[in-house]
Amino acid sequence: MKLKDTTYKAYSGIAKYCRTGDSKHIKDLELRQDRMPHYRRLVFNITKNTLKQAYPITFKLFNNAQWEEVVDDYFKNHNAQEYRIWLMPKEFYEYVVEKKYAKKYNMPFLNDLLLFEWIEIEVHTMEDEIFPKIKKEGDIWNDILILMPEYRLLQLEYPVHIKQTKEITAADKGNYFLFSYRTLENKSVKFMDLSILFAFCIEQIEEGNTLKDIVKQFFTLTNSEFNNEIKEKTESFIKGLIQKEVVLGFK
Amino acid sequence: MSVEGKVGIGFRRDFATNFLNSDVLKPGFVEFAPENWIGMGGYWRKKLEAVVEKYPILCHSLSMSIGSPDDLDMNYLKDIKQFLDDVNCQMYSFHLSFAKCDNAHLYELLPIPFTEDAANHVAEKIKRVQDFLNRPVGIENSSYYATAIPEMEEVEFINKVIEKADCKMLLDVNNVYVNAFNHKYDAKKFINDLPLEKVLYIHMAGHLQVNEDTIIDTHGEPIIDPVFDLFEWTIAKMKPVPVLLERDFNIPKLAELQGEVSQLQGIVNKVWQTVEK
Ligand SMILES: [Fe+2]
Repeated sequence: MKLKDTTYKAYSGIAKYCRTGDSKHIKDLELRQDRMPHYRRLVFNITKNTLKQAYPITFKLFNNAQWEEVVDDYFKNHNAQEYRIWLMPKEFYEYVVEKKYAKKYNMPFLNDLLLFEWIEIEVHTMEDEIFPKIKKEGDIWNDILILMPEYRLLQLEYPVHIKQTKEITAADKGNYFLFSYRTLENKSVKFMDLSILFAFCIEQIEEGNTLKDIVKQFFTLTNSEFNNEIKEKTESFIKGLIQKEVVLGFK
Repeated sequence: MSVEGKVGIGFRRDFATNFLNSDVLKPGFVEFAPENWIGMGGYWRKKLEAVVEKYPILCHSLSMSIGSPDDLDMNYLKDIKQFLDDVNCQMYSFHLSFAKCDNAHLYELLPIPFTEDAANHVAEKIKRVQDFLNRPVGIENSSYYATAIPEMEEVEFINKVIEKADCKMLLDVNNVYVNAFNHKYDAKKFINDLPLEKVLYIHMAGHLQVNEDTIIDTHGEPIIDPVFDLFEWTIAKMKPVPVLLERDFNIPKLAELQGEVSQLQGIVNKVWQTVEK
């Protein structure tokens, strides 16, 4: 950098002031001090509003002081790396996880909630995938099923996707599987709560295994019994996915 | 399709669907902020493609942060280059300001210190951007509310940068008005001192006066009459270029936006008609 030290300090002082609101960073600079709060307000509001839009449930869950505190901490201490502001909220999620706000605010489900809210944005905006060639006709159990590629499968500890946050208690802790996909029809985002078996099916279909092998493997692994009822349920789950165009067809 | 002497609109998701499904708003071209679209698929990608199909495209970057002390982000530039190609961008511009410092994006336009070394630093970066993108870029005069350790006037700084970088200019007439008010200088004298022959295109927008001596460049209000007047006075000194209406907040009904587009087009036609024939 060929900037003089005084010039660099002016840049850095303005940026630090905007991030912290602390006028010590600009007090020695020759500039209109009285105008600088406009910058602080404009800069901080952009990040705050972007996060509020990305995480509306979390925003409602926090009281004002908590929201101000976490956003302020984040903006002050985290160097945002993403040049696209609409992707920046992902860095906020990672920051909140890393700094353990879930513990601080005694909201054990907080990380899952943020992830749930983030995934809606991610699935809605993620880049278009190339759709594989498929056959329309086939056998659900014995042919390889092909999934539409625009989805995410998440494992959560708390049921943030099926319960109001105020109703979630420590007793809810467990294994939850959330499937989120972008519809072919109008590219909107849909969510499905999956049982562990169905989450396993999705994961293994992606691996290229047949439903027959997947189910067999599942019941061996879990040491449990496969019966007619489960068979029927699995079949109707897959038929549902075909209808929703989540399963596109057969290899 | 030529965009000179046409009035365009800055594309917003807020009005995308209405805009594409009706012919209420009829811009001569559309301006995209690449950062709002790069890497985006799905619903919005389809809208973007529909716009690109229908209109000539200009692009205006938000995160170039050319004034930043930080070095250029080559991955970012690669993405920009690809995007400009994808949308068949006719003209490309960004602000003479900084939005990133000490390795952190701030997502807002901050004022460059008007110093000799900053001018050299910025000019050198612009040159590298032009080389990399293999196209001329327009540097926009930004609105600013305070500037640190100034060694020269804003207009001198802009001229220095444009000359050294050998680049074009994006003239934001509203920003001139806002800065002239906030820093108490003569807007017409300022414009007279600019390299008007290097203007690639013009931005027009609304602003908000927050107290007796400060205007904030909000892009959230209609253009006020004195800015229309300054625009008319300015373009009489120039050859025809594209004119863009920026409206980023408080987006009104499309008919109202079209009203502003028509008003601008009326002025453009009146002033530039002799040149166009
Ligand atoms: Fe502008």
